Amino acid sequence: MLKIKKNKTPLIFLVVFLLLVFFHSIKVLQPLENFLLYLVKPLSGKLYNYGGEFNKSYRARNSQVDLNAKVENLTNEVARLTVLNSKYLSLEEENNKLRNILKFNGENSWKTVAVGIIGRETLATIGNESQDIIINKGSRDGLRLDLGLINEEGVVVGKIIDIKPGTAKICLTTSPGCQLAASLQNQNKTLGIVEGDLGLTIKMSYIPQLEKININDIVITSGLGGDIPRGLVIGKVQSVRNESNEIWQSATIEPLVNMDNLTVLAVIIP
Amino acid sequence: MFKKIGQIIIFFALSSIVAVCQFSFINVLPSIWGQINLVLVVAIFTLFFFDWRSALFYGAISGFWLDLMSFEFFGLYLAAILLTIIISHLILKNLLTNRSFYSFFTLIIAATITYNILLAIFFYFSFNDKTSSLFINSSFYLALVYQIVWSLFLALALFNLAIFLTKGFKPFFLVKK
Repeated sequence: MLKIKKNKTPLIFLVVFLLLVFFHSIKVLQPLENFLLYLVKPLSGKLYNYGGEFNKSYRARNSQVDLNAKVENLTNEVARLTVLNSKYLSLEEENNKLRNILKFNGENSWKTVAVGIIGRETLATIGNESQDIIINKGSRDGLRLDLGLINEEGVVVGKIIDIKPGTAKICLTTSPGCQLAASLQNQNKTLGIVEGDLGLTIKMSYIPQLEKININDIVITSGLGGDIPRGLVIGKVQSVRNESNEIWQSATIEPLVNMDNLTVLAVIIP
Repeated sequence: MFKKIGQIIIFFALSSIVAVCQFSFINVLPSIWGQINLVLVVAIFTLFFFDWRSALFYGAISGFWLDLMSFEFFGLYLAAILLTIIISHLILKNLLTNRSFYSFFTLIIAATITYNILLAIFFYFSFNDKTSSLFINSSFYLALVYQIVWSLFLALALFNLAIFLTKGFKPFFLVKK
């Protein structure tokens, strides 16, 4: 008798499991799920920040060897960018004057929604290089699929690929399978699709051989598709693969953001 | 009765905290550290040092939280962890003869392999991803090795803590008569 009672335990849990899945699929559990997520989001956010700090200090300790070389490169880069920036400021001033003269109201304006990261989805994809993060806002906050996510400097870090009422899943630009419509800031304004590569860099493929691409060309969003506005920086060209016997060339793009160190983020709603 | 209810609430809270820590803290850690599977190690610890019903309760709560916070197919983590606990219980009952550190070690290794294989199978056959090859992926095996190593370290820490607190289990090295 006792043996039969003990053997009922897995059956009971199987029934509970099936009931949970069934009630979840018909959305009966949704109010409870939303309430539980609402309760846990502050704790998740804090734990994510602690994890991020640990991550940062671990990487800083491991990369001290390259620090001097990096500082020198960055100093040169800052000098170059300062010169460029002054040119752009003059152009912007001229642009504004011309717009005023023509009374041109075509400027894009979009809304941003500040979000916090509450977790990272890796457990189900052991060995997979995808880096999907979970943010603490969802469809209830006005978000929808395919909206872009930027950091505090306005650099695109990913887009929404799945959404729930209170949370959303973001694929980072370096995640395999995460594609964005992009354009190069070169002479021809080459259009293409960029996709994450091995969780480390971004790749732009199927670029016609005739297009001239230079190292350090900036890659921006092209605005095609409508969900992510044009002109947001994705990264810069790190290397170009150009074989004369192939129809296409490809470029490896270095993201301008450290994806392990994301803190202040915002979703752009056009 | 109130004591029992209090125990259930504490059990629920602790199980939930373990799941939230796994999802929001451990998953964020650098690549090697991020392979720690705290949820699984605590499940096997509960199975080994308490009973399998407690382990199943823990698995149901933590699996539910992981499914709630995740965007994968609902029930994926719940099914994987419950099945792992059931299989581990069968291994413990039928193959392992005593409750020593060696048994705990063996159970941790078996459970880690079972859990990851189950997750890989469920994930592969879920609606989301059919692009990656099932098991034909060297990074899967490398990550599995890291996870086993970390699980064993955690198991060592938890086992010694349990022995220190309860003094009710066999010592590390079995004494030959």
